[in-house]
Amino acid sequence: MPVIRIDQREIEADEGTTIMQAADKLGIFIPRYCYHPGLSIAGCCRICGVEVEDSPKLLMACATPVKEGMVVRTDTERVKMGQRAVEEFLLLNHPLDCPVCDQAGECVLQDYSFTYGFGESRFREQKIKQRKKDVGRDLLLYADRCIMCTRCVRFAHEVSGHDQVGVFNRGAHTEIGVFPGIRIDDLLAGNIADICPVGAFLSKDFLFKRRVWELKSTKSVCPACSVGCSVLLDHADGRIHRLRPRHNPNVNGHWMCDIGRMDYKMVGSADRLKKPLARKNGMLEEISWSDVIAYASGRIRQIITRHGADALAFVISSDATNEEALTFAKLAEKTGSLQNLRLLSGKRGERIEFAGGFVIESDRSPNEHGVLDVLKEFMPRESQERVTDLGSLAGKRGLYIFCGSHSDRGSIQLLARAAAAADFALVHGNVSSPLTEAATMVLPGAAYAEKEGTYTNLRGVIQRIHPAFDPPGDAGHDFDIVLQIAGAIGNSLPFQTVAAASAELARRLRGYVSMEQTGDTGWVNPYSRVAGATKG
Amino acid sequence: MDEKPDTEGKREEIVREAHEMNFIDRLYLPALLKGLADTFRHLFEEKFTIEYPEQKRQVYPRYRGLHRLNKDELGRVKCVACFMCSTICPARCIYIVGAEAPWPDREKYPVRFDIDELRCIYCGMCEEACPVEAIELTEIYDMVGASRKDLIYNKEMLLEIYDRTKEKGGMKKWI
Repeated sequence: MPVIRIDQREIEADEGTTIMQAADKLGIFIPRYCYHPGLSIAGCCRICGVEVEDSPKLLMACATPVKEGMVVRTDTERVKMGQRAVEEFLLLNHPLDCPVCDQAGECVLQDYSFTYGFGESRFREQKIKQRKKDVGRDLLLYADRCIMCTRCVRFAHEVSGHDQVGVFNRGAHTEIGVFPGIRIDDLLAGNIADICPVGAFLSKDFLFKRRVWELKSTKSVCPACSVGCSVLLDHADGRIHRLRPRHNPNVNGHWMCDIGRMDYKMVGSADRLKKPLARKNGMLEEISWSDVIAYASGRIRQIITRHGADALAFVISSDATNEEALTFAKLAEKTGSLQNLRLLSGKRGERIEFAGGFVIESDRSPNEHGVLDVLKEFMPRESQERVTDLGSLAGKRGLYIFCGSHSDRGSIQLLARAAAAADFALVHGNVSSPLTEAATMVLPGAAYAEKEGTYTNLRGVIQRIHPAFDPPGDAGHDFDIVLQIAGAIGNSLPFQTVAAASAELARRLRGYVSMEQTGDTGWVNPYSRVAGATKG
Repeated sequence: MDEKPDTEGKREEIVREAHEMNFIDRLYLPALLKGLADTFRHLFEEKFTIEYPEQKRQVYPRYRGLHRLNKDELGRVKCVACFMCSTICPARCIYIVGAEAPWPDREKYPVRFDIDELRCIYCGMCEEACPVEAIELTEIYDMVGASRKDLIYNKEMLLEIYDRTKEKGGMKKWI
């Protein structure tokens, strides 16, 4: 492997990598606009020029492969002059409307202008002005802010494969545009706003909602399909304002789809359950937490003593975290109803594969695999094949249903009928649905952005989610609710915290680790049924 | 703990330091007359008090009082809802909701612009941060309200302050 020197420091770089990658490894930062690790190399922004010994001109660090004995300097006067010149050129036609630009605060052009820029402009001529254009379902194009890095063009060609974006005209009139009659409406379009280093492509959904420096970012996992893209929840004042993909080579690479991007709206929706409800004279009425726990546990005990544990059924949705599934299964085990433990599957959709290898899976719920892993660990072998058979629950006298917001509608209807027929149906969920309408008692739970735990994706990657804020109103944390119900029935569980449940999970399930050990990029379960990860 | 702090001794020392009063001092009359003389002398000197609120104090041109939101030539709010003022505000008393502007030549404008004048510390950082000279502090210092809520000025009230004070000139009055 070639050994090169960058700023007097030696590094053994991999064959075929570039100066920029070697410098990144050393922790030496070279500015970049057009370079993106998830896209091909263009070398067109010219900001990453570095001095290489025996080369008459500055070479582009992003596009120059390393060679044995190369001596690179990134801090010389010539390099700095190059950066200053590039900055000045890029700002020639830039409108400098940072005060009204949503990108301000996370704009690479803004940051580099401070770090590498000239500080003033010698351009006295008229700037080229352009109107903003509506170019897609969620994209606006402000072409005059563009610096022609062509990240969007390469993204549309290589990753989404839809090729809607192109470079038009020549010279000073060069601009990014969308081909006539075409809109950027594919399901990866949102990434274009993310990778745009300036405010040329902006998301309509996030437009003018908040300034980016007001947002806090919480690491989480997208719940909209069983790929489980690593995401950042950008939130302020207890509301999520946008989702961004978080680089994870094990799962999603650099990208995420627009289905997941818009899924956050459920967290702040008006359909959220905010108070515990109980049926009085046929109507669901608000009730206090202590009462609802006491009544519910009393009714469950009553059913067990009168009709036996087999009259009781437990259903958990694929929205639950592994830790919640564990507590739920433990509760079923303690009451002796393990044979009636069922999975409420997630919504199903079309499996969509993109040119760059990014996949949106047909299972549109976050944790079907994890919940199944946990349920199968607990359930007796002979009833395991009935784990998704919700029809077999008809005629059960008591139901405890842990419902999710990504559950299959048909199954919810089926369960709603079973709940209406049962003596007692306890429904635990975060949004109102036909199921909560049919329930005897409703327990308001948390959404994924409000809780802690782990999700297991389709390929067995175990990823941790972090709570961004508290659930709305009186809604509680699902894990605690199940614990309380178990305690009130008289079957206290051997753990009290999510962390302890996670440790228990790691002990019991093959290939699982506790949530502290998953790290930011997740733990790949070596025993998982489907191996490998999505390319991205 | 046998040792006690020696407070007694210290007090004695202080008493001894004080001025010992003689017979005339103990009459108190000379001191009284001296005070009265001072009072009466001021009756004939220049007066500094003003009859507020009939008379109002002339404030200095850089005085920082109640905020106003400036209007442009077309009478629209000048503010572009960039949130610079609310970001810099050390008292966090500015609340803005931005939206797409209804005018073709403008990108963004504030739908809501509230300032809690009770929380404000009148430091003037907002007017310094403003890139479009939309927010300014006026010379108005007498704000009255029946409740705390009355002193949360919204966009309409702040624009109205501009109409009331526009002939007094802009923020750059001291330059």
